[in-house]
Amino acid sequence: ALVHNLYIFDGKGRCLFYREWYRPHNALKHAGKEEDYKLVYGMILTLKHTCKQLSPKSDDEDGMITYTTNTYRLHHYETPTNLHFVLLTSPAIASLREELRYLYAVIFDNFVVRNPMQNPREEIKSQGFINSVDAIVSNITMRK
Amino acid sequence: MSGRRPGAPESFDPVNAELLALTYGSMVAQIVKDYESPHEINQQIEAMGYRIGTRLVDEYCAKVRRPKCVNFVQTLETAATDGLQMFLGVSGKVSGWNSKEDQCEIFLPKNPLEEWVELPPNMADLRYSNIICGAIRGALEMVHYKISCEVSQDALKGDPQTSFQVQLHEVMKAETGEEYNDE
Repeated sequence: ALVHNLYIFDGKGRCLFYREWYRPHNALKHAGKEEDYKLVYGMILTLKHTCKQLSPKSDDEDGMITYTTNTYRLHHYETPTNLHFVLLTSPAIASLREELRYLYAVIFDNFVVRNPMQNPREEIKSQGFINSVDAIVSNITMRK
Repeated sequence: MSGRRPGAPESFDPVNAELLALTYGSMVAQIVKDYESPHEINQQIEAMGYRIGTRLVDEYCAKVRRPKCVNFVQTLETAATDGLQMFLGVSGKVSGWNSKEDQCEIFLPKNPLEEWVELPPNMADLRYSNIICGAIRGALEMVHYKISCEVSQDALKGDPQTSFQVQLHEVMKAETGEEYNDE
């Protein structure tokens, strides 16, 4: 149970992809998926804004935010085109910058951007994409 | 591919640019058959480029690791030099910025799309390279710059080189969709 779940949002807050590996307790179960997406995306925006306000540099934006609580760690990577990759893992996992970058640069590129059947700003249904995401996750799990 | 340019992003395959150049002519010919007015033809070509551009920008960002561009001048110059180099195989030159830095011109020293092309005399209104305009517009729109882009000089029509006039209209804010506005 090292990797919990993954969200991919577009710049308007629509959830393009969600996948869950471990979530025994879901406080939002009854509120529905949409509420869950809204909460996460809303928090990412606020977090991003707050982080920027607190930064000692004026142009400090490399698109990566991560925070850790007692029970989980959130990794967030934003592309210049405003796609947000949000991955929740166990707090024991170190920063997954490279993995999220790989998810965008290789998997998203191959299965979404270069896929004529897929509008890059619509829900991702490609089985190849899902399989590749699972492969990254099992890779992360195995390294531990 | 063994003929990779030095310094090109690792996974870039130059065959795509060549394939586009070779097949582009027949594609335009088909559009000319399908639509009657030159205005409509130009629009269709531009729209096609736009859709291509909205995808290319993600591919570009995925493959090129460099610090984020912080303003319009930097973004456009990166797109015109590196972006065009990556997908078209030639690098554009940007010049003629106005004082507000929202207008400039991109020069293409060589236009691979037009290399083996001759325009018939009745096609004087056709903007053959409009697909590039569309691609630039689409790509920039995905990184928040609403621009218009027009062919200002066309080597096919006797100008010394092809160039595009770019005008910035709006810097779009990263906005949330409708469903977020109620709270």
